[in-house]
Amino acid sequence: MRRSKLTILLAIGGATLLFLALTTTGIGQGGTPAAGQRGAQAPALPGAPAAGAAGGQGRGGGNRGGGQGRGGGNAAPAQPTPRWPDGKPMMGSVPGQPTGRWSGGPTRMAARDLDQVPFQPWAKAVFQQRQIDQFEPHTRCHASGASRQFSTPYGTELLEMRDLQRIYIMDEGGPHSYRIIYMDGRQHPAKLIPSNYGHSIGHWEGDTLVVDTVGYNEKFWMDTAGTPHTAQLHFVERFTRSDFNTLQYQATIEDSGAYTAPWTTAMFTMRWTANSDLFEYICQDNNHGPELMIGSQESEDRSRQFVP
Amino acid sequence: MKLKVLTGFSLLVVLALTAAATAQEGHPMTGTWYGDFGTSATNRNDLVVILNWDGKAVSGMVNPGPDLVKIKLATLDSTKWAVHFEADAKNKAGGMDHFVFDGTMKNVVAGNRTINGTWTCGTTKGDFKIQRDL
Repeated sequence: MRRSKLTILLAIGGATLLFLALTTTGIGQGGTPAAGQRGAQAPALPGAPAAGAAGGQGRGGGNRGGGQGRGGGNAAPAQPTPRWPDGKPMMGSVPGQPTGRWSGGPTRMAARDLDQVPFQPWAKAVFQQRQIDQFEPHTRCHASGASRQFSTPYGTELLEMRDLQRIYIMDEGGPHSYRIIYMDGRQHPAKLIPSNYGHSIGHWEGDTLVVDTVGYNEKFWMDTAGTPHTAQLHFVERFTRSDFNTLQYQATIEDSGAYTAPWTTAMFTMRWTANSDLFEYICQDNNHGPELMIGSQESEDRSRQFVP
Repeated sequence: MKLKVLTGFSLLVVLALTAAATAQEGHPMTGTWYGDFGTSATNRNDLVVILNWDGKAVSGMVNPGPDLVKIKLATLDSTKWAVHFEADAKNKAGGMDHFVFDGTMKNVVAGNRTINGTWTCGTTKGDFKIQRDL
């Protein structure tokens, strides 16, 4: 009798150990193929469900990329900044190596201490009101320029086309759009039709890519926190890839329509998510906020798992 | 000839309205506002207000078209979301009527925000309500 009990206990223990071993290595894992890849990589954005919580699904409406959802694949091991033959840093994927994208852009450019930001009175009031009522155009599938372009749930790709002397910034989520940074030495046109992404020209200052943008319209928020701007916005971004996995980002805002003086944000850090690609994301499909799109709904509960 | 002039004028009006309507998330007063005003629930008149913020002041017009009225003064007190604007309009006798509008902006962050309030013109007074065009 004692021997049979011991046998049962050993059998249970063995089965438990086998189960643990299988789940740890992923052999026994069901569900989506991406389930084991997501999780640790995704930088959490305010108001978004934790990475992995949605079972392989991305945030919000639209087509979801299954295993290509927010956060993507495993982070690459730490390496030095990749460089082109002329010594300039590579801002995106390295030719011949697995592709990747940047995640974790600034969600709030204004300092926590709002007195540090030279708001005009109306701009400060609007910013504070936006902390209560969040009617962000991005949730209505509008393209969002300035630093908001880097705060999408699925990351951003910087695609350098050196032969054409331009860099494309592709953002996932929202309207699935892109911005062009002209690197050919041109100036801003004297007359610009205001647009969501504005007109961007870039140059190098050492290892830092400096991007100067004007010609914005007022149809978007500069960040997810609702930092206001007007069409007078002059936005200067500084990108520094300090190592393979790290992109430092800082912006200077000059907008006499909303601020009494130019101001510079803190330094933000974006992280490289290796082994991942952008995927097709159609914001308008299955959008959970049609009422917000046509303006008939007055509020949106952002504590829900799915936020449009 | 008249048709060409009319078409050209209509095009200008549409362009003006379109230009104003592109501004949506900047200064809360900027944009085109539609609604009505009157002295009672049954005495109503259409009211279209186009406002623009240049960084220092708000300017604009009331009821764009051949009889448009330029706004003389427009302000926003963002501590109370109180809106104030004034305009002088020609009356039928050839004189000028001075209109003063005072209202409160609601749903400030929403594209379809509204301004409700009262107006006066001499001894005549009433209410108005306008909603911002998306």
